Amino acid sequence: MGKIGQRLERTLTRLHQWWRQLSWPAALVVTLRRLRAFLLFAGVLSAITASVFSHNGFFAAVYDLPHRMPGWAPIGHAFAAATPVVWGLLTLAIVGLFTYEVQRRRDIFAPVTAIAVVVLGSMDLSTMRPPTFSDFGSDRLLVSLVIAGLVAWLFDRNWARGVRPRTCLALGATVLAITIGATRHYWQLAVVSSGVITSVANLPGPHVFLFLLPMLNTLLVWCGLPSVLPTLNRFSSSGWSTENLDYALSHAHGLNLPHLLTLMTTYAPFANMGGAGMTLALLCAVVIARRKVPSAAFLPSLVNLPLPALLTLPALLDPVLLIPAIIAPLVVQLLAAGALVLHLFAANVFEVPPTTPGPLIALLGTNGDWRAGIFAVVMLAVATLIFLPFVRIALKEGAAS
Amino acid sequence: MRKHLRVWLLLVLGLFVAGALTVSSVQWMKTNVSSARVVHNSRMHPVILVPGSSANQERFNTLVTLLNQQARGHSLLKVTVAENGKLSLSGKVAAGDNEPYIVVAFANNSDGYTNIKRQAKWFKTAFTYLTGRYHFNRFSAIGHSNGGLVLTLFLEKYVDDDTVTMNKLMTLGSPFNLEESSLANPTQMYTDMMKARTKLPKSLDVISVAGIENASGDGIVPLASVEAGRNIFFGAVHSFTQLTVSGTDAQHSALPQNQQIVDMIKQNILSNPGRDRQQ
Repeated sequence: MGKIGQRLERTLTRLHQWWRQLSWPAALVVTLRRLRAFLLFAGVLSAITASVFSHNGFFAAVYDLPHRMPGWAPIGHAFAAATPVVWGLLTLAIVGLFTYEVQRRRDIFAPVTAIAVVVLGSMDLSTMRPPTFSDFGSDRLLVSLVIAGLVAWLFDRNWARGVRPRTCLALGATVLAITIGATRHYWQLAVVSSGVITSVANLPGPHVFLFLLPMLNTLLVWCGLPSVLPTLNRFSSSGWSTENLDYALSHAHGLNLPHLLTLMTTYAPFANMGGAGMTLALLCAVVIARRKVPSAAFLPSLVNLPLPALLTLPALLDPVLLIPAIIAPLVVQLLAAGALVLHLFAANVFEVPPTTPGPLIALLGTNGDWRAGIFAVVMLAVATLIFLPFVRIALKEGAAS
Repeated sequence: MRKHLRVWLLLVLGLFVAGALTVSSVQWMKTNVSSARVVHNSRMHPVILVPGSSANQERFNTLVTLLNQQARGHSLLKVTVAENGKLSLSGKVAAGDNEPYIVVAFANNSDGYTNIKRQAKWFKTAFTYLTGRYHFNRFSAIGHSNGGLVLTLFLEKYVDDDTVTMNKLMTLGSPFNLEESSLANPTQMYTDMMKARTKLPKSLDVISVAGIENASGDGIVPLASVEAGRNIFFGAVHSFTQLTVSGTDAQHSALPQNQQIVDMIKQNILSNPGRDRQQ
């Protein structure tokens, strides 16, 4: 076992070294480190907007802030308006800096072109709607990075020297962006609706989709692509969850639920702490490995917003950290399913605000079953232990700062 | 040493905040679930009756007696709302009665659009009390004369949440264009009701009953004014039915005692007309 472990560690270390030596990932890490302070600010801003200044926010609901806090509504409007603007500007800053870092010539014309292409590509020309800041959101990060990388590559070519060729190149890229914008209505149809996938997850049967869907979701989020389970998803809106709620409201105990194993009972309270990929466990592992006080990135993860942690570590696109991000939620979900089948605690049937801090979801969603709360804390510890060796490898290689 | 102290302080502070957060959120959740349980398990579906102008809370005594004639019947609660919004209650909702009659009358029962608007507001006060007291989330209503107008204004102006649903509404001789006998002269009230008709519940079933004692109407309310209700409800609610009764007891004041109307109420409004018949 020890030998296998050592061999696995060596393989993963080599994998991480190889990944870090590639020009695009290296440039991405440098870009994200330079923007770390801004990313932390945007993350904290999102966390406060979602949990304090949203009607369905955890702190707003528990402490009745809309009625008790003076100026809650106007301050909330300001926060809600500022959040997409900050994230939009940050995405464009990432695109610009990444283009600058990835190209060899350090031509200032390249980042400007890349930003223009991303902005124009986000325009919906079929409706002539100009892009808004929410169009450059985090779920289009990978697409934006690919565009930025291609623009940098084109600007690095020899024939791109001189003012006229560079102008032609910029114009050509802009025309391409406008074409993307004009046809987005059609190619977006190819993206499978998250609603359809969620319904598939609720199909009766061997519950394969129940476990596959979160894995796919983590993969997509880790890659900066649109997720199938929206961030701060309301798991209670599915038909099965409604039937479970109906049963729980009419019975004092929730032991014989009509649908025991659903995303709401197995995934939401235990395997979604910190959002997709259990980023809360990832941050706990980083704190243990570095023996340092938690950073501001903890706040967004506490209210289940995973992206700030992924960007600030940075763990985005990191193949080594992706492994436990997929394994840990799966293990936790399987353990939770087993515990539910054995009736070790009540199932999570009552809707809680999506920004409820991870370990509290199980306690509140079961209407105060302390066994579920303890199980959630144990699951967080299990997930942290799964993350720990991978985080150590990543830290050794200097990926996570 | 200093670093350790900081870590311990942070740990203690973190545990304290987490503990306080846990206690308050569990308390909040338990309150939420307990009130959700009460509403969910409430099977009460009362019939609320609103009298017209010049009538008091005793207006529907005969109707309730007739409805309960074949059985021990449903219980009767009478509420009168004073001008300052204070409620006076008499009668009671019997234990286990899921379909009680609740009469909501007004101490100021004068006629006129201004007072009808005030009555709609007073009705809202009584309704808020009743839903809080009996935890029902669906009900039906019968309004005689201006009582039908009060209920319509209540639906258009004061029902802004979907937690309580009016399933059925029966208006008896309600003058939707007040005393005007032609729609060529629309009153302010009719115009206001037409403007706000989009706010009527989409799932509501409405039955408007008109009495015909003579060629023009039931002796007090013009037939055309009752029929103006069709323009307000038709298309805005799930279904609208216009009925006319004639013959004995078709006079405006006699409509609540009219045997045909009593039968219609049993058939269309009550879900369990003789709940205790088998007992």
